[in-house]
This record gives sequence, C-alpha cells and structure tokens, in this order.
Amino acid sequence: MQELLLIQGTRPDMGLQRKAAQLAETGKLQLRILSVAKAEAATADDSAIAKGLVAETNNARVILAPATVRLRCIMPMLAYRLQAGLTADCTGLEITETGQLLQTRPAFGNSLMATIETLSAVQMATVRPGTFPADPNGEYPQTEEWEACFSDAVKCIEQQRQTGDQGITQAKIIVSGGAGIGSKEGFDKLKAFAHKIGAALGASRNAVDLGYAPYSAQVGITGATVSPRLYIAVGISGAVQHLAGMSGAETVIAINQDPKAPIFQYADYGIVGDWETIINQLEELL
Amino acid sequence: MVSQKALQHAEKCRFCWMCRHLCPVQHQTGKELNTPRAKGLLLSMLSKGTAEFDKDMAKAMYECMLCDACVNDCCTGYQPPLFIREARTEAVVNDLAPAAVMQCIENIENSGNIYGAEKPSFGQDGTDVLVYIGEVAACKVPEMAKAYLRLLKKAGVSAKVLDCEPASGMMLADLMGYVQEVTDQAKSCADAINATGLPTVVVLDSYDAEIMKQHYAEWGCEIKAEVVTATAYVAKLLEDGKLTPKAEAKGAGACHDDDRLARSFHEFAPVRDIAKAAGYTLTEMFNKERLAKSCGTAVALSYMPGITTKVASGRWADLCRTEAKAMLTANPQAYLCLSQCVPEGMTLVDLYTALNEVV
Amino acid sequence: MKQIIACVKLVPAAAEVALDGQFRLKRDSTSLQLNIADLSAVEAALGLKEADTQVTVLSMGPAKGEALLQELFALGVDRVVLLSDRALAGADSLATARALAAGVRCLGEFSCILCGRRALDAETGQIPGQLAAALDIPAVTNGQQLEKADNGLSCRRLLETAVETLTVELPCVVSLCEYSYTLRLPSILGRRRAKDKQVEILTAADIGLVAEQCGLQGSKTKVVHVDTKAPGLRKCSYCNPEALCGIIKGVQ
Repeated sequence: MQELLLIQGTRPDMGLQRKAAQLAETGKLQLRILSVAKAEAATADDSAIAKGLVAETNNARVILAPATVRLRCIMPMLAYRLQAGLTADCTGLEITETGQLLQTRPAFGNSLMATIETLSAVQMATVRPGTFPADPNGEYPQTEEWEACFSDAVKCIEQQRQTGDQGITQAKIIVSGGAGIGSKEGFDKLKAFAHKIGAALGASRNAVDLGYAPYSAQVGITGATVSPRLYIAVGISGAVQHLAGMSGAETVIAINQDPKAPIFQYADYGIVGDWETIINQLEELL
Repeated sequence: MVSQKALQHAEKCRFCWMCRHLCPVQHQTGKELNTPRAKGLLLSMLSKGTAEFDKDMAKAMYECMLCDACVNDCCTGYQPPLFIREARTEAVVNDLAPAAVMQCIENIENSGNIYGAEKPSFGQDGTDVLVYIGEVAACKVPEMAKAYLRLLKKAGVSAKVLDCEPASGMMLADLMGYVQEVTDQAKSCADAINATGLPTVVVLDSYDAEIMKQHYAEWGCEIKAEVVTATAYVAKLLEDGKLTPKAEAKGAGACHDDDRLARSFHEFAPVRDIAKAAGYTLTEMFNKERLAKSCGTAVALSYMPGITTKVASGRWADLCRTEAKAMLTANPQAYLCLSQCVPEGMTLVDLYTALNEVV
Repeated sequence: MKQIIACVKLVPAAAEVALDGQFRLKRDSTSLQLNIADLSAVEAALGLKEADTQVTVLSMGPAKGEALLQELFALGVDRVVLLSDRALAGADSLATARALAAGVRCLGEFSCILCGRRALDAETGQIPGQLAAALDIPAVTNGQQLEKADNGLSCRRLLETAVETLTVELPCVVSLCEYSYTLRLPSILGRRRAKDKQVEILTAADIGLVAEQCGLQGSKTKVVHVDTKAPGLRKCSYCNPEALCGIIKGVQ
C-alpha cells in the first residue's frame, strides 16, 4: 500500500497530524509519521537530512510537513532530489479517492486562492503550522524517530533562545495596521493605542514594505500566523496573503475608510471611516 | 538614465501647472524651463530619445532650490526633487554639471565642506547635549551658532560641540543626488555623533536635521541619540521656564518658515514662540507654514549666487507686503541668503541673538 | 573568495497583478522591482567582496528586466546574467531551480550563492533549498549577518524561537531575510564604470536545457483553479466606536 508520509520536526503540528490521518483514509493511503527532531538536533545541515530522507520515500505517494523554518528548507531539497512537485504554505488540503492531492494556498500576494495539483508520482506540500485544528483524542500510528544523521558541513556554534516577549503570536489582542495608516508617525500612534489596551502591534506586508513597521510585526503568509481572541485590523485592505495569517482570530474588527475593502467580508465588526478619528474616539472611551 | 521610479514621477505630471505658481526660482527668473514641470518634461524627452542630456539641460536641473514647495502642492503626489536629484547625479557622472557645481564638490572632497575652509572650534565639551552646528553656521554665520550656545548656557544646559565636526552629507546630496559618496559622509557623521554617547543631539540647521532624521535610517546609519531641531529645543526651554525673557517690545516681525521646518517637519510653533519671547509682535507673510516660499539655500548660493540672491529678494518682497519691518529667522542658511539683499528700511533678525538680548 | 553569486528576482511592482488564462502571472503588463529580500543578498555579496572577488548577479525573467538589472553595475556588481527565454516561462520552483542551477554551472567556479529567502510574488521560499539540492551543496535558509569564517562563512539563522550562529562550508547557498542588509546606493564612480557594462542574456539552449526541462513543461505542479475569495468569510455587522469599546473591554 502506498503511503502518506508526514514528516514532523522539533515543533510537531498536531493539527496537521489529524488532517493527514483524514487524508490518508480518503485517499486510501497508509499514514506513516516520521520525526526528524533528533536529526535536527544532531546537525544544523538541512541538506544532509534531506539527502538521508530520500531512502524513506520509496512507498510515498504524498509527503506533508509543517512549514517550520527548517522543514521549509528540508522539504524543497527532498523534492528536488525526488523530482517531485512541492507546494509551499498550503492553507487547505483535499484528496481524491485515487490519491490525487488538491492543495490550496494564497497566490500572487493579492486576493486569490489557487488550487494546485501535483503532476509527479510523489506529491509534496508544506502547511502553515496551526492551520488545522488538533484533536487530542485522535488515534494515530506511532511516530517513528528517524535515525539521526551526521554532517558538519553546517555547524551550530551557538544557539540563543529568544526569551520573554513572544510578540504577536502569543498576544490575546492584536492591533494591526496597514498601508492605510499612511506614515511611520501614524504607526507610532497606533502602537501607543495598542499599548494602552494591552495589545500587541501587528502590520500588513504592505505596511512593512513601506517601512512603517518592523518585519517582526508582519502578519500574513510571509509573516506570523496569529490566532488572538481579538484582532483589530486598521487601514488594512485585506489581501488574501494577510487573511491567511489572521483568519484564526476569534473576533475580527475592521476599521477602514473604504467601504469596499475586502477586509470587511472577513470581519465580525466593522467601522467605515478615518482610522485616526476612530482610534481617538476609542482612546477617549476606554 | 534615471531610475524607473524617478521617471514615473517625471511622467505622471498632469500639466495642472500649480507648481509653476509655487516655484520660487521660476517666480524670479520667469523662465519656463525653471518650473518643476518643465524639468520633468525634459527627463521624459530623454527617456523617449527625443532630446539629449547636455550641459544646458544639466544647468536647468541645478536651477532649483529643492525646497519641496512643488511636492507639497502637487495634486498627483509626485515629487519633482526626486528626479531632479537623480538628474544631478547623471550630470556629475557624465561631466555635464556646471563648473561652479564641480568646484563646490571639489571643495567638499578636499576640505570636508563646501567652503573649502576649516570649521572653527567652539570649544564646548559639555555633558548634557550635543549641538550639531553644521558648516553654514560654522563658516558663514558663526554669530548665530555662538548665540545659540550662549542661550543653552544661560538655561543651564551643558552643551558639547564636536571638534572637526563632520559634514552631514546634506550639501553633497544637493550637489550630486543621493549617492554612495553622500551615505559615506552620513556614516562618518553618524559614527562621530554616536561616539559621544550623549542622549540628545540638537541640530542647529534644519537642513542637516532633515537628512539625519529622514534619511540616515534608510541608509543603515541611524543616529542613536534623539535628534531635535534647535528651534524645538529652545522653545521647550522657554516653555519649561529654563529661560525667562524680560518683557521688551521690539515691534512687528514676520517669521520665515525655512524649507525643511515648513515641509519636512511641519514645525511652525517653536520659531514663533521664540520670536514672541524675544519681544516681537507677530504678523504673517501670505506664504507661510507649509506654503512658505523658499529664500534660497546656502549650497545654491555657493554655485549660483545670482539666482539665489534673486530668490531671497523674492522672500523680502513677501515681507514688504506686510506691516512688519523685521524678517525673523532661526536658520543659518535662510539668514545667509536673506542677508545678501536686505531692502532699505528692513532688518534681518537672527532669533537666537534677539532672544539672547532679553534673557 | 573567487566568485560570489547573488540570485535576484524581478517581481511585479504593482499591488494588483493580472493573470492569464492558465493562471500564470501576466508579466508584461506590470512594472518590475527587485524582490525585497534579494536586496539583502546583493548587499551581502558586495560586503563580502575582496579585491580579487567577482560578484555576479544571476536572474531569470523577461528581457524587459534588463534595464533594472543594469542599475546593479553601479553598485559594484561585476557581472549580470539574465536567463530569459519564452521556454523558461511559467516555471514552478522545481523547474526554476533546475534552470538557475544550469545557469550557475555556466558561470564558473564560485564560493557561495546568496538569495533572498522568498519572492514577493510567488512566496514559496523553495528556490534556495532546491538550488542547493540541484548543485548538491549545503544550504542555510533564513540567514542574517553573513561573515567570512575560517573555513567558509558564518551567519545567523532565524528560527521560530531561537537564533543560531552557524558556520557553513563552501561552496554553499545562503538565503537571507528581508531587511537584514540595507542595499548601498550607487556611487558616482560606479555609475561611470557601469556605462561600459552590459547585462548578458542567456537562453535555455545557452545553458544546455531542452524544452521539456524548463518552464511550464518542466514543472511538476499545476494550478487547476483560482478562487478570488479566501476561506473564513464572516458576517460583518457595522457599528460605532462605543460598541467596539464594549467588545475590547470584554476581551481585556
């Protein structure tokens, strides 16, 4: 029987594990879970891990992995060695009964979702961690610890844990600004407001590209995926790439001058108007 | 020839001609070629191959104060100084820049500043704030710099001035556009300022403050200290009661908002606070605040004294239309340009010297 | 270091991009810009440059990108090679990496290849790894602060919860994060020198590839459907600041 191979790293994604089990059932594939956590700890050389993994893929029809930094390096290398198609950062996965994987991801940085099929025998995809909900009661085949490989072509001399402020991924409330904020000064104001209500500051990619906010604040497919209890999107139009990063929020509030901005379709509450005026009013009220 | 972005700016002009009414250079010369719009057209012709970049065109690109008045009022949001600066780069690269411009550049290369002179030492080695004097005040308007330092002393602020203060890059940027030679100057300047470790740098010349605050970070040489304009700093000292002026009536005066305070910082109140504290009754010129008309820059005065003096006289004409007899400024470049052509019966006032007289 | 190769991509500058019937980007209709993360790669390459080092920029895309690439000479880049051919169009990351690797093989001996960690348009971030696999050399992704070390390079790698300091043997591929370097401005001297230099344009045949290996034909993924709506539609009720206030207080 052909396999659906799920590769987990040091940060296993239990939601993806659940999804993989469902896909394996529908696609009539055998689920096999392989952890490369030990290999990741043993060597910093992702190319050596990818090379070693080739031998594990003889029966694979589908290979999935969470899009962690290291698996985002390992998976492409493995895909090249297998000459297999690989889709990055999927936000949706489906499978046909014949085992054809349908991968959905935001495309082209604007308001489009693309569904992608893989033409090669092995179909590979990485998935944004946290995309699928986990099931604590789910039953899965035992995770195989993959034999650690050794290489010192890339060596880790020092590892600094980043402590304390986990930034936006852990925040309960996020106030996020987009290009509509208009200036760096505007962002300072937004930051002050966020601070006042105990929220973290986020930003859209456009705002980061314009230099209004640091990259660390970026929410979206090329930034952080967040799932706060409350997400306040200010001056953000709502490009698919941004929505992919914040759709997990419990409640979404959108503040935008343009009543036609797509963000309103993805928000629970909205106010159309000048963001500065509205933030000023909110500040007074709170 | 110029970057895609600059060309976009040059070509998106809608011919509304507002900039023609605002350009201080075209006002004085009456030359159509001196409008921002015309300069954009020239570049557009170059990109289409219908004109060639020659010495005349290069000269036209230098007949501009880079005062940003056209940017401030452009309905399409386009920025003529962006492509004018790039065209200047091109002029220097192709040896087409006017000889006087090349002389200025040579002076900077040889001596570090446009005047080819050594900057005087101000002998200040205080511990509270760093005061960045800038080459115009140091070499051409030293009284203003000294008056400013006296004010700080009276307010109990211990000020430091760098010996051999490096140039900020502001003048070179006007002469050859934003190029690596300018960022090299910016980096040495930022290094020297950062080496003092002082928490605040007070910048006497707002043109220097503009490049430090609005460009250094994007060039990767951010100043760690807080950069404050000299006007805002003194206005704060007045507000906090560190300087207590005696009441003394000096008559009517009008504040000149220099190009950078007017359009880069939108800082208007501090200059007026200082003027009031110095005893002036304020009146306003018609073109004030964001719309303030340029009176020329020190760098333009160096390579193009004739036109720059005319531009300064255009600003005096604005004053003559008010009841005020005194032109009030706290900017060394404005002071230098305006001092070239003080009309009879009018006075040019350096606000720091004026404030010194009453505290 | 003999030769440092920086891979750059020209991406559509406009926020809105057009697609053709096969869901490929219509690259002719929009103006281009250098991909932001690639600016770091170019600057890092120039920063590592020594007297006898050649910095080569390698790009793949439509020929109209030539003008933009030409500007790189003024920064001190020695050679710019653009792979441009209709046959290369429509490539997924696998076919792109294959073409870039073939291009790299035409450039001669090199010490390292620097890339941006991902492109603004497709955002797969898969090229650095795939290029390294194609050339069978190690790769480090998500890099910052590249420096010369005893036997190669040292750099920082940004992980989810840690920053590692790594050393990597040469030759290698390193991908750099956006904004990890500030690209220098051209100098007057550089601009003068750039006047005599030209972007070299290579076709698929020039780099030894046949049609089946490149472009849409050489790709293993295919877009079968495009939807303009992202999942996660909600029903928006419009309200006033007072009501919002209540919602915010409820969460605090």
